[in-house]
Amino acid sequence: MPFDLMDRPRDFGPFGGRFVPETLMAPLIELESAFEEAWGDASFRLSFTSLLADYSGRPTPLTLARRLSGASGLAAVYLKREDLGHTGSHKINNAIGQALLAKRMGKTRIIAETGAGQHGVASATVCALLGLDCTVYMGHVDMARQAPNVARMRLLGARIEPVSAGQGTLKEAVNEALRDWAARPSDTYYLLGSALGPRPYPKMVRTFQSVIGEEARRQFLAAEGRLPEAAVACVGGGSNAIGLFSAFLHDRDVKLVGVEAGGEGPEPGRHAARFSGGSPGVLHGTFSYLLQDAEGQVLSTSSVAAGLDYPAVGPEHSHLFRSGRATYTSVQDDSALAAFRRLSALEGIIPALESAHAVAWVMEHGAATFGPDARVLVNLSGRGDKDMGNVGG
Amino acid sequence: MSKLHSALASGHALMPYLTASDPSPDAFLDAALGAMDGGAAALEVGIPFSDPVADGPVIQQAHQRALAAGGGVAATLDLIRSLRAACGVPLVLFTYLNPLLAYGMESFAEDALAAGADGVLVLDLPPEEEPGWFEYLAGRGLDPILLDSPNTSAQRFGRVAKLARGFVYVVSRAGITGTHAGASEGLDLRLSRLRSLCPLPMAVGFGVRTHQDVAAIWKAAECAVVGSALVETLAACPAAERRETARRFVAGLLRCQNGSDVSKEMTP
Repeated sequence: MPFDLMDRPRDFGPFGGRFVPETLMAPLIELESAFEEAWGDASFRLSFTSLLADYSGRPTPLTLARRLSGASGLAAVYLKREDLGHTGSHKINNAIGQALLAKRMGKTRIIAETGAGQHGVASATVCALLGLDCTVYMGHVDMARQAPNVARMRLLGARIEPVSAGQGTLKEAVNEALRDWAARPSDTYYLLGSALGPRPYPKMVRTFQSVIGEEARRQFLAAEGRLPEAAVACVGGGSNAIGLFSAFLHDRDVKLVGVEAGGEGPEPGRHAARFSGGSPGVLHGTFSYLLQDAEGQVLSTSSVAAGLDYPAVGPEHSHLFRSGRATYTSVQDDSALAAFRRLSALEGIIPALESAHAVAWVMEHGAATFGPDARVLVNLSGRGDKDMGNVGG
Repeated sequence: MSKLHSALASGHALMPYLTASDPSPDAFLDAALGAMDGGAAALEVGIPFSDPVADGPVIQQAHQRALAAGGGVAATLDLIRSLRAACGVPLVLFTYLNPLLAYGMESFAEDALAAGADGVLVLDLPPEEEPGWFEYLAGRGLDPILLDSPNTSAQRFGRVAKLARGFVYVVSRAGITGTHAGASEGLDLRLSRLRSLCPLPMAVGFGVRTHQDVAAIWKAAECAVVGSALVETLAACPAAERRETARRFVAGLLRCQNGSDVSKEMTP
């Protein structure tokens, strides 16, 4: 008997699960039942959708990017404008949902991890709104390269805990948040920012982010009278992508494309392209594709985009990859940087470096992949103000 | 009754933890042999992993040093083989799941058994997720070690009790390794509840640092586990003195059985 984890059904095909130390089992079981109960309660959903509308400004627009369409050789490129939501990225959707849940569960202290700082800012924002104590774990390397977001979090009243272990990026920040939660599970709520980690996070985060795809599908139909040829999103942990994809999973003609961070190149340690360079493994409580060496040690990663610089991927993406429903590809740092400038110059929209990966792939490969008549939907998951210090003018 | 079970059953036992290959294979062996010289009833051997989320800073650093020295599953099994050749003390492998997945769960069981290990504890493999492997281990004579934490429900502990062999690892308080909280309140009560559900010896760990902690644990449980305090002490001592330092440290903790204060001796 090989005892292969691939042989057993979990949340998403064989992927997902709850591979955590014993101390975290009870809090996760409590969280799962609290989420199921809350999501079944119309008053909770009303609080969620009301804040999305009145506080965050949803629905976010769908913008036809005319000059980008021309430059990409495509009939149309539409941008789902998550950059226009409050705090400047899609992260606010999940932060609102989970902070409302934390409040409902009677938790008084919120902890979160952040890479690019967008989830940290969203968490700090909602904690200010709801009067919750907020601590954000952030790698020291990310603190330096996303300094504007560190300042925003502090202004919003959050405490930042710098993480210097390992590479000082998102993976280490998640490690520290998990350790914090294990020490104080009774009063603390771990507001995980992406569709990864142990059950129920991947499903819960997708649920709170599915508003992206629901709106975009409706808006695209209204604009074009048909569905797009493809929906494209960048994939770090994968929350913006799963939020977009979730509305199209049953639209078999809509191709789904996830764009990972190709970093500096394909050599191990120089990128965060889990599907081309990784294999199934367990990190941070979930069974999913993971960048690891032959001994099962997690590899270091590299990306110009802090929010994509992570060695594992949300388990539902692993399932979509294995089933073939979605395809995953990557673009390197230089392409993402070029797209960052091009979108700014062509459309007057400065994208987050994370989102610029999706734009870059469409510009470079969209026409060749889908043909010149294709209409493509791209999730512009966040705005790029945070990246100005790194990229310059 | 397995070898581990009988080694701990009589009580007043101490089980030190060391990370394999920290800071080198030979230095680890020195420390492990020293701990046995000092009277350890069993030894926990950690397999180094890049992301030890259940561990505090002291053992995280041990994992980093061990990885830098080429540590991993294969290297750890080599060290188990060396220890087994040197002594008969039961050896428990402490590990995170991913290195085992990469090695192969079945091959790991075979090779760990062949190397001379007596038990395996996988920190991030709860009974709900394990693929029938614990029963397989038990059938082959390798004890699957499971945990109880302060928030484990009676219902879930029932499942733990059914699968566990050797001993039950009782996490004394919420949190990560190395957190010093002293003896946790209500341990007597908690252990008597566990004993009504499980006949195995109980080993209490997480946060054990002083002889007072050990003495308090012995009032309620057969075995105390000491990890971070030992790893920290060894990290600060010269290579030539590792074996003697480990011996003195363990002997010091054990001597508190007779009420003598050994805290001065233990301070590096």
